[in-house]
Amino acid sequence: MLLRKRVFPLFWLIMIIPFFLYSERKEDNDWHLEEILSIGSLEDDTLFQWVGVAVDREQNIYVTDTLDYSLKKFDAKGKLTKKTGRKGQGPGEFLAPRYIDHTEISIYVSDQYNPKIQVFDKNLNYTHSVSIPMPVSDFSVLPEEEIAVATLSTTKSGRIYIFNSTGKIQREIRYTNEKLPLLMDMVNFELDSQGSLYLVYNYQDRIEKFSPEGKKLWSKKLLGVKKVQKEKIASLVVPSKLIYKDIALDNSGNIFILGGSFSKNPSRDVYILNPEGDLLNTITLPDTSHCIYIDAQDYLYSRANEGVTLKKFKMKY
Amino acid sequence: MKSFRKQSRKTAFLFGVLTILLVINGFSQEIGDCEQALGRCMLANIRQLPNFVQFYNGVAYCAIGYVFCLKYLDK
Repeated sequence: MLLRKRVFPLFWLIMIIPFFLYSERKEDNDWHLEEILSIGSLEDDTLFQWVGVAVDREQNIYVTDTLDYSLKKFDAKGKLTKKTGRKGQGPGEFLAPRYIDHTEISIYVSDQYNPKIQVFDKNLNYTHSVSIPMPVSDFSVLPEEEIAVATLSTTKSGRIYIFNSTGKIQREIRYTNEKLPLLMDMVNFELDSQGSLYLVYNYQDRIEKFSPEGKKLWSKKLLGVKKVQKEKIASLVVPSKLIYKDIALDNSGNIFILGGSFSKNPSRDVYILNPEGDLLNTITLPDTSHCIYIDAQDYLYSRANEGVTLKKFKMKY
Repeated sequence: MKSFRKQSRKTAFLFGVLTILLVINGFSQEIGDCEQALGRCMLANIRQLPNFVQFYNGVAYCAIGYVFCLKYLDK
């Protein structure tokens, strides 16, 4: 009888605890996106194939549009306020405009086939160029107008170069000492306000954080992908599927990673990690995207309609 | 001296022919848009030879273009 009295409550307690744990976890997992702005549609000519996006403190949105060789500025309501650029290699011209970053006063734009980063003021007037004698796969503008550039070198792998405003290499961050086959060291990266470096490999299941001094703090795998299939194309052996596509940071230091072909929802799943690299959550974009961007107010931007539309979301959790 | 120059010219020529054959061989097996673009880029890049520095720089540009293409088109 006594045993019954003690065992029963204990039994119920054991049964109930997982339920509470589960409901708490479910609450934690309840991150979702609420669309608050959409720019461009299949019915208009606002955007043709946008690639890079950056947003300033006033919520003006800057976008590179590769199909009409331009840089466009939209106000906070999504109205096109300025457009600049045309096809060419001269000042303010583009062959394939790609990524954007900004400072308080300037907009920086890379070009796939021009070995330079062009700088514009916030009214999109061309001011100057910084010569970058290597292909740019990702970049970030640092204080003092330095530019951190991820590149691909067939001789020196695993480095991010820091250029000064005149285009001279000031220093380099070596993120791997391994000698890797072509493209296997390709990364996208972000730097936080303290100078810590976060990077995600495009063809390896590897996300890493480095201290401002360049010391590796942690390395994580999210998807358990061991090997990526390779193809031989035009005498080059190259990996054919992307594991991760992009990385972004929010203002709390959380890390957002856009998954590629190996994700449950390819090019739509965004993994959210805390600054220590623990997986907090996964949110799924409504449409496939090549990139993600998070602005100073923690709004998330991604693509829709294969590059014709830019979407802005409020993250709710 | 003359025979050395002749020899190195011959080597450069043979290397060029070999590269073209390799490129064409790889190019004919492609399927996707990005693979085709990479093949075309590499074919155009052969013009850089025998300047190997330019050629390898061109390989890097082609490869980065391929990654961008996969990012943009791959679902």
